[in-house]
Order: sequence, then C-alpha cells, then structure tokens
Amino acid sequence: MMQDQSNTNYYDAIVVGSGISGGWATKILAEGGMKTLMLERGRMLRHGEYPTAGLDPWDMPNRGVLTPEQNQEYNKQTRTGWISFDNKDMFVKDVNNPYDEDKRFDWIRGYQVGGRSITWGRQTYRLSDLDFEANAKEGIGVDWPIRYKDLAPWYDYVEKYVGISGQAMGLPHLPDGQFLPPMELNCVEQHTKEIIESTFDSRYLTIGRVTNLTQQHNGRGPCQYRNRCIRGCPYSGYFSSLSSTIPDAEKSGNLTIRANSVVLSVIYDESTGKASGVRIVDAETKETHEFFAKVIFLNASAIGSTSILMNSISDRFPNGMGNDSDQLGRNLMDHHYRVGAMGFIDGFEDKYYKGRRPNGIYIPRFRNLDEATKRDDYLRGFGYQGGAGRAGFDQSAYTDGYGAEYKEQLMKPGPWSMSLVGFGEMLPDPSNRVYLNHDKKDPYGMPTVTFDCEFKDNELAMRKDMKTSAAEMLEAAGFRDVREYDDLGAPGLGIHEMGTARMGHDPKTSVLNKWNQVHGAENVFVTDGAAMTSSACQNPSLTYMALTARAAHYALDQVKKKNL
Amino acid sequence: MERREAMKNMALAMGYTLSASTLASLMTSCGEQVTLDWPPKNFSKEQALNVETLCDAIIPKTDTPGAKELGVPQFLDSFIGEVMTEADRAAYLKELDAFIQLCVDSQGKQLYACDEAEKKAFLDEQNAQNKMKYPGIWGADMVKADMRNFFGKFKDTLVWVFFTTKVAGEEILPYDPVPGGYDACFTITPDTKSWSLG
Ligand SMILES: Cc1cc2nc3c(=O)[nH]c(=O)nc-3n(C[C@H](O)[C@H](O)[C@H](O)COP(=O)(O)OP(=O)(O)OC[C@H]3O[C@@H](n4cnc5c(N)ncnc54)[C@H](O)[C@@H]3O)c2cc1C
Ligand code: SF4
Repeated sequence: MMQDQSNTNYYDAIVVGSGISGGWATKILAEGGMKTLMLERGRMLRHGEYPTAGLDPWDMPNRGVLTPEQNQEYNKQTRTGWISFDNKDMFVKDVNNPYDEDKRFDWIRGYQVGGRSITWGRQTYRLSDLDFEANAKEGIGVDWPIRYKDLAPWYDYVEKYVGISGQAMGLPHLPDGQFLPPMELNCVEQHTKEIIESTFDSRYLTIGRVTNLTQQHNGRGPCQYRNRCIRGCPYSGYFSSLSSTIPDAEKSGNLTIRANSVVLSVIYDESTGKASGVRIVDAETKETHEFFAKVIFLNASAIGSTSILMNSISDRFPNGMGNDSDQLGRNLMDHHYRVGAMGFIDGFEDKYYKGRRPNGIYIPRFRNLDEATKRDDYLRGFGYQGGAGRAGFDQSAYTDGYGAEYKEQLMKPGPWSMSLVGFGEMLPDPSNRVYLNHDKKDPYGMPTVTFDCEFKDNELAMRKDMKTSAAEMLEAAGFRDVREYDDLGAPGLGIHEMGTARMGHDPKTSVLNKWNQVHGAENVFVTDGAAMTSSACQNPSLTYMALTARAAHYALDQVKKKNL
Repeated sequence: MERREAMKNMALAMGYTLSASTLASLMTSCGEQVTLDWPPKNFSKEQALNVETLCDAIIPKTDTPGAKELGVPQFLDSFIGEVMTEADRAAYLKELDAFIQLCVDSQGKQLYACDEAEKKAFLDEQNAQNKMKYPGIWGADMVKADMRNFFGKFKDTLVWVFFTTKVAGEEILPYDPVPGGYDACFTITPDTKSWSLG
C-alpha cells in the first residue's frame, strides 16, 4: 500500500463518522486543542442545505410517492414504510450499499455529513441504574462497567448544549435532565394522562422529551412546529450535528472535514501496541489513503464501527481489532416496537389544536421496577410513545359516503384518536450477530456485512403485555373501538441497532473498557451504539452522546498526561 | 411523531397506489356529457371517462371547486403511470374494469353513461358494501385483511390527491406552513375547518 507522507495526513485525532456521536467527539476534541480530522463516507452537506424543507405535498412529483425505480434503489430503507421524495436523499441507496441477511434485518442508514442526526426522531431519555445494574443482577450478558453516577454529569453536560424540552417527573428509573420548557399535551392526551395516573399504580404519561427547542437555545431555534424535521431544519429548531456540534467544532480552527472518505480499517502498529491511523478509500476517486493520529474515535454507527474493527486484521488481532473475546459483532440489539393499541374517543368534538407538534407522548416503563411490579413472564420492560390527534381529510378511510355532504365533512376536523406504540428492551444474546462477508465486497472494496439476528422468547413474551396494557389504558380512559396490534417486523426497524462491541470489565468477555477504549488498542475509542452492554428500552442516542462526551474528555486528559 | 406523520400521508398513497390493487374507478357524469377533453396516457378513453365521472361524484363542485375542476382525473392518469410497476398497473386497471362491469351489471350501462338516478343507485350500492378502514400507526396496519372495495380504495386515493392539490391545500383548507407555536387546545366553532397540512 502506498503511504502518503505529506504532513496533512498527520493529525492529533481522527473521528470516523459525522452523525450524532461523531459530531460530539469532534467538537470536544477540536475545542480541546487537538488537530482533528473528521472522516465521513457520505457526501458533504452543510447546515441549511435542505432542498425539500419548504415543499408542500403539491410541490413534489407524484405528491412525494416514489417511482418503482426509486423504490428499487431504496429497497431495504423502504421497509420502514415512510421513505418518500422529501426525505430519500438523507438515506442510503441500498443498491450501492448492499448487505445480506441470514435472517431479515432492516439496516436503516444515512450516509452524509450529519449522518442520521438529520433524520432522527429526537426523543431523548436517560438510562438509570435500573438499566446499568440489570445484567449483573440477572446474570444476562456481562455487567456494565459503569453506573448512573458515572454518566450523570455527562448527561447534564450534553443536555445543556443540545437543548431538550421536557417535563421533570422525579422518577428514579427515568432520571430528569436539564430541560427547556416542555411542549404541551393536547386535551385528549391531558385527559388520558389524568385517567392513567389515577387508575394505575406506577404509570405516568408525559410529553416526549425531545431535542426540539421550545425557546431559543445557544443561538438556535426556536422550533416553528412544522413537523418536517426529517428533511433538515432551516430554523435550527432541533439538534443535529450539522446545526450545532460540527459548526462549533469548526470555530476552533482545529477541524478538517473530509467527506467521501470510506474508512476501511484501523492500522495497528505492533511496535507501539497502539493504532497508528486509518485506511480509507476516496469514494469519488477510488484511491486509497492513510491518515495518522494519536487518538482515533470510531463513530460510524454501531454496525459501521464494528465492521471497521472486524476488517482491521493484524498479527496481534487476527480476528479483528479488540476481538480477543470473540464478542465483536455479537450481542446485536435493537428495540422491538410497532406493538400497542389505538382507539377513538368522543366528547372532545369542540376542541382542536394549532401547529404541528413534532413530538408525542411518553409513558415511562412501569414493569419490573421492583417487587410490586415484577413479572413472571419476562425480564426488563418497555415504554410507550404515541399521541392523540384529530383526523383531517384522512378521515376518508373511515367516513361513509360520497358527494357534496361527504366533501363538507372531510373539511371539518374529524374524530379524535390516540395511539400507544410500545418500545421494548431486547436482551443481549451472543447468537444475535453481524459478521463480515470477505467474499463479497461493496463498491469501495470493503467486505459487506451479513446479519443473523432475531427477537427471542423474552421479547415475544413482553410484546403480549405491551399490547394488552396499551389497550387496557385506552379503555380505562374511555376510548371506543380500541384495537390492539402487533406488527413484529424484524430487528433493525427500531433503528436503534447497538451492542456489537460491548463495554465490560473483562477483555475476555467484552470489546471495550469502561472508558470506551478498545481492549488491547487503547488509543481507539468506540462511543456509538456498538458500546452498549444492554439496550434498556429508552431511545438510546442521548446515552451515546453522554458516553462520547465522557470518553472524549478522558482522551484529552490522557493525551495531556502523555498516556496516549 | 415524525414517523407517524410521514406514515399518515404515505398510508393514503400506499394503501392504494402501491399495492397491487390501487386507486380508482370509473364513470363520468350523466348521460349527456360523454366526451373527454384530455388525452389519457394510461387509462383507456373509456376508463378515463368512468374515472372522471367517479371523481365528480365523490368530490363534486360545491361552493369550492370539485375534483374534476382541479384536474384530479388527469393527475391519477399520470400517477398510475409513474408510481406503479407495469404489473401493478395492469392489476389495477383490471380492478377498474371489474368495477366498470359492476355498474353495467347493476344499471345496464357504464357509470359515465348513467343518468343521475342510475349513478346514485349504483354508488349507494357500492358505498354500502364498502367496509371502513381502521387507521394505521407508524406503518403498522391495524387490520390485516383488505376490507375496502374498489370504490372505497378509490375514494381514499382521490380524497388524498384532491386535498393535496395546491388550490385545496392553500385556499380551500386553512393553510399554515409555519405555525410558529403550538396551541394545544382551543374551542372551535361549527365553521372551523381542518388544517390543510397534517
Ligand atoms: C427516522 C429515525 C428516527 C430515529 N429516532 C430516534 C429517536 O427518537 N431517539 C433516538 O435516540 N434515536 C433515534 N434514532 C436513531 C439515531 O438516529 C441513531 O441512534 C444515531 O444517529 C446514532 O448516532 P451515530 O453517531 O452512532 O451514527 P449516525 O448518526 O448514523 O452517523 C454515523 C456516520 O458514520 C458514517 N460512516 C459509516 N461508516 C463509515 C465508514 N466506514 N467510514 C466513514 N464514515 C462512515 C455514516 O455515513 C454516518 O454519517 C432514529 C433514527 C432514524 C433514522
Ligand atoms: S418542527 Fe421545528 S425543528 Fe422540526 S423542522 Fe419544523 S421548525 Fe424545525
């Protein structure tokens, strides 16, 4: 391999990936004085470059519905059911980015500067010691090497910068954070909250905790209630790397962003026992380059970072970097969802709302918290998202008739309905895994990945409860025609894939230590979802941010002390 | 909520346009008016006449424009060409033909050739046979079996296309592209209309 020796290939730090976690690593390292190179496989994208942000349905070809050719290009991303003209360019074309499935796995990705921080749902919840202690208490997987107290200051730290609107509740298992004023519940949600809280022990309903800004924050926002966040926000109304961490990192003068740079592997130096840099392919020229640094952060998202480690083969690491334990690629988790109930409610016909609130409700976990809430049929728990709303013209599907009267009716606010959508914890299981297929390379010469992962008995047992508990709450609140549903789909669909390079105390059973350093190559940090030792049931990205902030500060400190 | 909102729009489209069976149907206005003043690309002329009649019957002109004035039939003609595979389109048109035939069986003529009374008789029949759909959540279908008849499915697509025309979206329904805030609960009057953007 040709080695490019020009000075520009030497940095203090390299960050692989520019999404939620990579943006954070970059900001902290660059602001900490490190000359930092951010490598991103996707195209360059700058804040404000959101061509579909202002389009109404009538502005889009075919009202936004994709053509069969486009559907073919996005044939796995479209399993979500909502890829359309307005958001497709923020997701990968599967034809160019193939992967295989021993069992169905929906790998939903965004390859561009900003990653999936542009398209994410922005729900942000802390984990607690109920989560960090669960593996050890139950003898599942391995113990987390950290506890809530280790992460709490870093949750504070990132929340203050990000800006999260939400309601403090004082629940030990869903710790409060640094909140901006909460968004409001509409009247049906408020009614449902009151009934649930007065009828059921340990059950609460609150407005979602979300990175949409209810007031100006660090020069961003506020949110204008358009609910078009997935296209990118010209108002900087929510948190993305593009709107915040990346531009702030650039202000330090220490950041170089190199887009179209597909990282293939981390280079291991046998003489120092550390990584020396990374190897990339330029996606446009197809040329190979090497870049060198003291510290390397892998933030290519769980599967991305894991596959880079797997493809980093050396005499020291014949099975992939950090893989002495054979756990690299194993314990793949997601959240299982699309299970719950919905119903209609009468009595609020004279009430309506204005604005498209980009947020819903949250019902925090209420199972297996303590002896009183313990279940015999499954471990761990779930939370619900969802919300209430009034139908607009889409009431056509359940409105009888045709003609002038029918037309008039469709123009009036329709029935109120509410949905509860469970998000459940998935247990780590070494047989749920992803592995490299060295016989099939992607267009950049990187071995493709194959998924072999499924939901198991604990998840399936939990779903029964997720379904009936949702229906039970809606019925208690007076909803009619309550319907339960359970649409299992496949892992990946929750878009919370994680766990494939887990943190642990012991190099024999884990890939990362308590500072997210790769066992055996301690100047390599992995701080995205790959690090997760268990999945909890909360949306995970806030935890990736806190882990990243903690590890990046640790790295700065270690560099200062000349330990790295 | 992003997912849910996006789904709400897509579901209307997909429920009927992307699945093997899709949109539409037929018929045109009453007996006298049996000419088509636009050249269909994907419908046959006869299918187009029936589609136009059906559009007009479901969303007629009132004090606001109807589906026909806003060019919905032409849009549907182009839409099925753009968003369906050839096989899906063929299946869809077959369903449309079957629907046209139902009218012939019932009234002795195609919908576009029916007079007002015949049209009403047939569409009342179709309406009575149509089953209500349950709204889906975030891409998960609440009801697996497809309970809508062609008339019902056509209605869903037509309504969605009609209310997402620029005229309906900006002038017929209250249009609020940048709400700027959230009023969680206000009391409406009998004249309050639903928002154009969902
Ligand atoms: C529609 C949607 C809704 C979601 N809702 C929520 C939510 O409400 N709450 C929540 O917590 N999470 C949510 N998520 C998940 C959230 O987006 C991810 O957890 C988060 O983005 C992960 O951050 P990351 O930094 O690990 O990866 P990403 O944000 O995915 O960024 C990874 C980056 O690395 C780049 N990359 C990958 N491989 C390479 C390589 N080999 N070389 C160079 N660069 C590479 C990618 O192109 C990408 O830009 C949602 C996701 C989606 C898509
Ligand atoms: S809802 Fe708010 S954050 Fe989302 S795109 Fe609109 S203004 Fe931006």
